[in-house]
Amino acid sequence: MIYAMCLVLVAVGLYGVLAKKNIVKIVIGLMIMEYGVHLLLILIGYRGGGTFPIMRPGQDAAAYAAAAVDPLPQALVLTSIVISLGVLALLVALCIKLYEKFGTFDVTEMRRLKG
Amino acid sequence: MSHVLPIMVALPLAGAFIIPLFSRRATWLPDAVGNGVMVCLTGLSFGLIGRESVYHMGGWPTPLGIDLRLDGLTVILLVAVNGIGLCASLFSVSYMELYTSKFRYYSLFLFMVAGMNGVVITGDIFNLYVFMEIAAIASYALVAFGGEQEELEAAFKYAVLGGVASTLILLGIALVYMVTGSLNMAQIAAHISTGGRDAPLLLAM
Repeated sequence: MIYAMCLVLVAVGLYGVLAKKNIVKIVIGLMIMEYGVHLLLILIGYRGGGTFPIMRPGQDAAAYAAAAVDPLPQALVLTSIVISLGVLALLVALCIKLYEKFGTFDVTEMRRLKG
Repeated sequence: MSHVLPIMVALPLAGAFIIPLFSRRATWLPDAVGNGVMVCLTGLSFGLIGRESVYHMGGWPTPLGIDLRLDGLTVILLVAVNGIGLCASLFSVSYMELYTSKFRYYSLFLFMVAGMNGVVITGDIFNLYVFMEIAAIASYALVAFGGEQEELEAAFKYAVLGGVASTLILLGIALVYMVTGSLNMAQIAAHISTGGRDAPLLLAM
């Protein structure tokens, strides 16, 4: 059920990308989509009542594996957040340049390439 | 021989960092470094024909670390990527004189080649996603090169399409990891072939 909520968040972001006309809102929709996926990744590694994934000295490996949350999705999400920051910076820079050139944020008025 | 594999990614990355550092003093340097790196990469990828190997990044064994794999398909794609990249960089020696900042172009171009080589040689699906994003972000910036109305509009459309697509790929990777418990391509293939076919995995694919 809680996984489905993440997919709802992805769907909300996808709606923003598809239906909005303001390019800044499109970028926001894209980021909402990415955060939905990040939330799903974190939830995959979550375990109710689990300990933090750091192995103490002298701790038994099997007991550690049985108690700790999965650290791998957390590392993946950290990497993915940095990547989405890069994409966000590039998209916002493109939005600024587009506003300079077209004088508007409305995507329906950017029709120079319409074939 | 497997130690050549990380060089396929590291060499263009190093070139992409060197070009902006020194190009203000030496205007010939972007051309020389860009084309030199591409010639080296093409030579290396032709030299890899007919070989197979696995390189463990950082010396970690297969289930723990990230693998770089060399097999038949990898060699074909490496030759294709680097051969076409060499042609493109030779062509742009004279063509990019139309634009002002050649060193930015070569830096982004080498980033894109590094990302594409990484996609080809990696054996880990999340590492594939990271390299794909490197190549994609560099290519968004390359599409916008020039900064006029048409280029910016095309770059924005391409970046939104590519952003949605790579987000869905990350969703698929998350579901594959949830089902198989591994990010290694060989282990995922083994898990699927032993009959672990269920709904989330099919959705992810």
